[in-house]
Amino acid sequence: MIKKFLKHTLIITIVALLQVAILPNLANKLNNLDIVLVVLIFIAVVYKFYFSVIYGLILGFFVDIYSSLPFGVSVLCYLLTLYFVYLILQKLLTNKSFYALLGVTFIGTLVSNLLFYFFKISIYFFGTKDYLIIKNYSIISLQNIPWQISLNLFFALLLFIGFHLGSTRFKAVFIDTTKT
Amino acid sequence: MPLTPKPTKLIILTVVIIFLLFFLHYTHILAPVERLLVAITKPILQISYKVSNQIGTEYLDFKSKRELLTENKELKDQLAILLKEKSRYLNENEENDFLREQLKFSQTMNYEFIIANVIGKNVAGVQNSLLLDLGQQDGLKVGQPVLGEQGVVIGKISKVERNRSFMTLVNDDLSRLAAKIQGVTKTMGVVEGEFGLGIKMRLIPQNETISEGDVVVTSGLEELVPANLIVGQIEKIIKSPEQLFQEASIKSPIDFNKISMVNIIKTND
Repeated sequence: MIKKFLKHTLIITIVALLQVAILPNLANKLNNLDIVLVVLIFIAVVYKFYFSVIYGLILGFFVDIYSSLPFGVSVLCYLLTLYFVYLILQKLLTNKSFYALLGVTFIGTLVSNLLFYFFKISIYFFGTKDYLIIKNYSIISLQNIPWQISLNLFFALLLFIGFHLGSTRFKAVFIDTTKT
Repeated sequence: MPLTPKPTKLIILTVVIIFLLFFLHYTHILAPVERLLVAITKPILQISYKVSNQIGTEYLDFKSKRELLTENKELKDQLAILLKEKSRYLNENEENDFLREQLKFSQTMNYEFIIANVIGKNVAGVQNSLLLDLGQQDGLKVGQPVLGEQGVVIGKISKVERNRSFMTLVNDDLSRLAAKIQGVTKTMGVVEGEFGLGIKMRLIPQNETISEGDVVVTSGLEELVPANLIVGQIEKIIKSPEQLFQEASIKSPIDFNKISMVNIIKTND
């Protein structure tokens, strides 16, 4: 029990620190990678959904503390994305395959971007009422989406390979078509 | 997909937890926990910020050769010094007035500089803001100007908490700074950011004559921002006859990606 608790604490700490302290400082477009989102989706797909919700609450809270956006925006975006991912997994991509992981990562990134965009635009709108800013922000956000999708998919791939090689627990993930 | 608690129960539970988080945060009940978390993670963040900054520099060194970077840095330092010199030269005619104002200013406002470390960058999308290790208890207030190397304005304090604060860089789209062009005409305008891609001075009247290379300084119209702090130099003028105002692209001598320490003009009440 203690071992499990320590393991999860360590994972959460590493992911949170990577997202908050390392990623924003990465050069070029690499800072578009959203490790928290990929980890949450990964847990939801190959592990347990309620685990990803707990992770989402803790990681979202941590990101919120270090975000210049109003408190709660990150946790809300991550959890809404997770529930959307859950619906996709229940209705469309019903198997726990590698392709399902990539598929939901792709859709999840789009949904998360849309939610963050909505909140940011609302903040801009209520803060400035300057339509030029909203237009410019929309252009930049659109330009960043392909980068974030590519980076998130690549990171999901790395996570999958890592877990597939490192643990027998996920051996069946590639071909498992049963829904538990 | 395993879902131990029933989905509806889980959704209700999550919504309750989120509302509870909101409530506890905005009623400041959660503040001690947040402060504790910040206090624990602050040193780690500071170290990782420095390390990742170092890695970033190493990467650039590898990419564009060390010599070029050194030369570039030297040139930037020289440019900043020259800008300062030019600013001083242009200001010579008003020196008496300026010094009197400064003296009066320092006597009435009694401001001093405080040095803060940058411990992180913004984690929310494309906004260009930095996280500083000092906050309200150190005398920081929203709107105070933040200066980089050579006393160049790099932004303003945008959010202050008890022991940390956020500063918005001048190149951020939400940044607004009342400025003037140093020289005979003292043309007024507003300096705004362009999503981290550059800085622009807007609302310059069409009839004002400005030229590339002119130095842009703060106008002093803002309560907490003193006049004559260097913002940058005009790089390009954008003028069209049908517009009421002209615009100018401004080049700052500061590299906004490598800021690790900043000066804040502290105001005493």
